Amino acid sequence: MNDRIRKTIMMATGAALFALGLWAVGGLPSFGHYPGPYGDVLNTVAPHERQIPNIVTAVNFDYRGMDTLGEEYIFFAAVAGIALVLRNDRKRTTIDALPSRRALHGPDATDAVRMFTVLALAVTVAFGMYLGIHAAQTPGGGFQGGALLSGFAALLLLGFGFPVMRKILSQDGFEAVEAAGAGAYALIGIATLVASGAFLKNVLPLGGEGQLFSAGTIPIINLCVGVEVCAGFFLLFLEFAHETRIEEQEPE
Amino acid sequence: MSANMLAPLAFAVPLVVAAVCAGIGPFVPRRVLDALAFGGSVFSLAACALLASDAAQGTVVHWFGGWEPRHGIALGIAFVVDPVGAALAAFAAFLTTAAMAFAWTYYDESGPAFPVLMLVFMAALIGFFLTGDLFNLFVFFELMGVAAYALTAYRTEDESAVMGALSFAVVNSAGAFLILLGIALLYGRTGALNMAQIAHALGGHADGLVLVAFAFIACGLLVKAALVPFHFWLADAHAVAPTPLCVLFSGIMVQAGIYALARVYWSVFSGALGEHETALRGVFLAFGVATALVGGIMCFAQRHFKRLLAFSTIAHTGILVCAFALFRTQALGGMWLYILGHGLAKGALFMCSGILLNRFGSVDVEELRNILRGRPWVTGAIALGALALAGMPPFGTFVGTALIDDGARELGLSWLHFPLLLAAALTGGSVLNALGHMAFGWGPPPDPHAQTPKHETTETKKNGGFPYAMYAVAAVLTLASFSAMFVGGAPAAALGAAARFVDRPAQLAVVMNGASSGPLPHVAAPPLTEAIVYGFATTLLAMAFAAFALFGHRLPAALAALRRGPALIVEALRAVHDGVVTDYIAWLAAGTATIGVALAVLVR
Repeated sequence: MNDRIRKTIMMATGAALFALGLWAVGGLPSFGHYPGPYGDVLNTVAPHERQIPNIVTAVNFDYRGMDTLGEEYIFFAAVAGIALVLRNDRKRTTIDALPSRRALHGPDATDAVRMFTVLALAVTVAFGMYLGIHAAQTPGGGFQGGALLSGFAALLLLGFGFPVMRKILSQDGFEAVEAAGAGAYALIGIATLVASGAFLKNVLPLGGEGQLFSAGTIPIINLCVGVEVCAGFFLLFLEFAHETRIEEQEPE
Repeated sequence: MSANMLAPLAFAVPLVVAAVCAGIGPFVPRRVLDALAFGGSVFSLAACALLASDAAQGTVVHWFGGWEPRHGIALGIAFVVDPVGAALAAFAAFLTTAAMAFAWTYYDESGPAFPVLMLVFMAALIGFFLTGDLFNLFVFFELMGVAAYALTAYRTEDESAVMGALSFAVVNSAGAFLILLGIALLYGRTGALNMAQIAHALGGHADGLVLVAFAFIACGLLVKAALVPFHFWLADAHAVAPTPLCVLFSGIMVQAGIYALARVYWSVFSGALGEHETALRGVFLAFGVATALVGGIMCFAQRHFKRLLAFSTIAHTGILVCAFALFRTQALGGMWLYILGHGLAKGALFMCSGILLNRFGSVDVEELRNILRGRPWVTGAIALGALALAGMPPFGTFVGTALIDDGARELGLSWLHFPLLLAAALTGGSVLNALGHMAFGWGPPPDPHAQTPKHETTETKKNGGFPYAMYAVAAVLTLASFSAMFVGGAPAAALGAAARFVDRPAQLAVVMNGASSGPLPHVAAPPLTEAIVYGFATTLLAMAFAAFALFGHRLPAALAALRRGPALIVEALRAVHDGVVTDYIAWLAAGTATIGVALAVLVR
């Protein structure tokens, strides 16, 4: 198929799909008229049933917590998959000894960059932990907090280079931490199943709305997800950083 | 333990085991990981098998988080386990167990990624079969995909493995996008994600939104099922994926797409679209027959044994889509049996290809000429697999075909026998043709000017001792597919399960009001006598195709000219299968638009 045929097909089918889409959207309720009932019901019952002001978190980690377990494992599988695809024959210990392209071709980061990196590290860690811990109270949560925290690894790489990053972040260690975060979510499900007969049932005391320790299992699951996501991104940064290593005798 | 608790355990335990394997992976020997992963899949197999027998007594419903519906509104997610879903989940766990046993002597590389991703893949399949929630189905579709894309690229040193995984990932992600669009439309209309609740809210009338949502969801699922023209990724991915994984891809993942199409149709859309069944039948039969024939012809034209098997899977997808499109209980019951029979036979054949790769370092039929001489076990297994693909009695595929044909006959569509018979014979004949080369050195002498395909990178341990496990597992699958007809009551059970599967009002009562479905209805299976004639006729036709391919060059020149016509078709089809991902997306868009517009025109 050459470029012209492909474009013709895409134009024609694009028009047809667009028309179908318009036809379908015409059947939706008009803008601003939410027909319910799911959102209305939850907005009414969730705050007092779960002592939680953040209904989105309540849906993600309680009412539809099963979906989130699946989503967490999608991330877990993606990290394992990237490690699989980017693996190479070299032993991990020898990777550390290899020089980076940048070290061969130019100077490392300047002191000014390092200074700002340290400041940014402090802010990143504080804000990431804040978001992860206050999942039930604020528009944050484990995914967001964990992703933000993982910026730690990227900043280390930018400011201090690969050897320092490798020294601080242990790949084997974070593989274990990431797996623990993912497995803990599924284990909480099994534990609540044994305790109550329903998988992922929120069996812990709910506390009072707005308190740090409230909403039962929701903050605990968020913590697991935060740990998993943060460690997973660390592993991704490490894997991608490995790709910047080069063999000592690279052919010209 | 109640059946109600087995359903979540069947998919959650392998996820926990996967996490354990990933966590301890760097610190323990590989055998420990293999054993853990094997244990995880055996657990799921046992749980799903128990679940299937419980579900036969009454549909099992598990509300996650204990969120049972209130006033007809589902707040949470439910697994709604009927015997079909549980049996297919058990089958997925069985094939995973077999694949892991097969892989025991297979990989020399250590590292936890393979067992971890296999477990996640199996758990996703199980969840996909058990869930009764449309968005949850999508989550498992994605999870299944992510694990599968990475495993396909396992042999990263081989460029084509990465390319195959890439087209697999791109095309399937586009399919996932279509499904998500359809779900969004339905949610916008009904405010619900539970299948039974959506069906109730849609009522008995279909407008543009319902029709387009159905078209998008069906096309997305049929990407997984590899319907023509969404099928291009399948052959590319199968040709390069590790063999144990191909067993799962061809044995159950592709069929999971068809299962989900049937599930979504009968659990969500059958009320709203029921009056338009004739229109739907026309569209899906057309695509199903085209798929069966394209798959069969392309299968016949391959000399790379794994690609050959991949195209045969496409042909069998066509047969299954036709079974769906009949919208008859018998055809649906036949479809379940066909999935099992085909999965066992195809799994065994892929394992034979793995043995070829392990022993001889190639799956190119020309290169392997004569290599199976004096190796009766592999020869016998491949021959039996070929006969199973052709649908010879007593293989499971035969019983399935018989029921599908019975459904077609009832509708006055007896002509449907012939394209399906032709496709099955082409796939069986292709394997016999390959076997003729490998076991007896038959076939035209190789063209010295032909381009020799590049060598496979080996995926196996060199000098790793005789792979007893591989032979044993391949033998078990072959024998299991052979014995299908002798399992008393299998057709009746499949028909009963199909009858409950299509009963949407009863499902609504079970899911929303906690009613009991009661045991499976008893449906008498139709007699198979006439079908036996068709079964053997297909087998003979398969042998004739193989003989023509093997000895056609010795025919007098006038008759040999017969080869030219088919050769032209094959050339045209080959040109279309060009391995370019952007083309695959163009085909995907064109197919979706065609199905959508055809449904719109026929239903309006």
